[in-house]
Amino acid sequence: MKKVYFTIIYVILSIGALVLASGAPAAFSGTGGGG
Amino acid sequence: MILLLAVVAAVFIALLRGGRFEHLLRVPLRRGWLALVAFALQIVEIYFPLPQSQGFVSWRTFLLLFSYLLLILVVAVNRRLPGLLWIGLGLSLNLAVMLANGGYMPITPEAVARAGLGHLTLGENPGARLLATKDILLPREATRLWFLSDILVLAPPSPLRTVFSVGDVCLALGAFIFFQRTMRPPVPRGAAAGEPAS
Repeated sequence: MKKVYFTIIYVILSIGALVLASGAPAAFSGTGGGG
Repeated sequence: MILLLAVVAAVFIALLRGGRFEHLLRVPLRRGWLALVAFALQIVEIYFPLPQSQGFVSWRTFLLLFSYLLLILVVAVNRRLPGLLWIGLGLSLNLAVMLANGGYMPITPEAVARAGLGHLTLGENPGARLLATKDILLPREATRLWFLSDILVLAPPSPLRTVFSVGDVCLALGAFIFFQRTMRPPVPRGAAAGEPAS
């Protein structure tokens, strides 16, 4: 069961990191930011 | 910020359309960890930037561009997955304009002012960095491939104030397609050809 959760989180985090690292990062200020 | 929202929205919309997280178990994602490494490599340069771009001679710029090489590798080995070609296109457009302008994403002072993001700038001269971004201030006339730079502005009264590029739009579209296709149940054999599923 742990492996199932790990795999799902791994896919979501990997695609999220791929998109964010390729473009506009997340601003920690909550007021946006460019890419 | 807008891409983080795009990824979260893509997942939520997929769930609303009947998608399930467990279908992600079928995704043959390869070398995904390299994207996490690339993201980590960018943290120093994005959240702890020097006030001014150092150009290509800086190890900071090298790390930023090296992280893009890792991202290109991830896209290349996963190019058959849904949406990955759009992500590759967005990545390429952003990288092209960054390479043409000293390794960073150009943004005009006018776009920064329109979006109300002046508090993020670390200087006023050309080449000044913006906190929490990969951006440098550059006037439009000094920007190569200007149309690929951060020119799309979400300004007040929009609750989200941000500036993004055409490449970012492609990335958001790619993320949307990826989660819609991979979180949906598999299509029964024959259904795509119009045959009744039994």
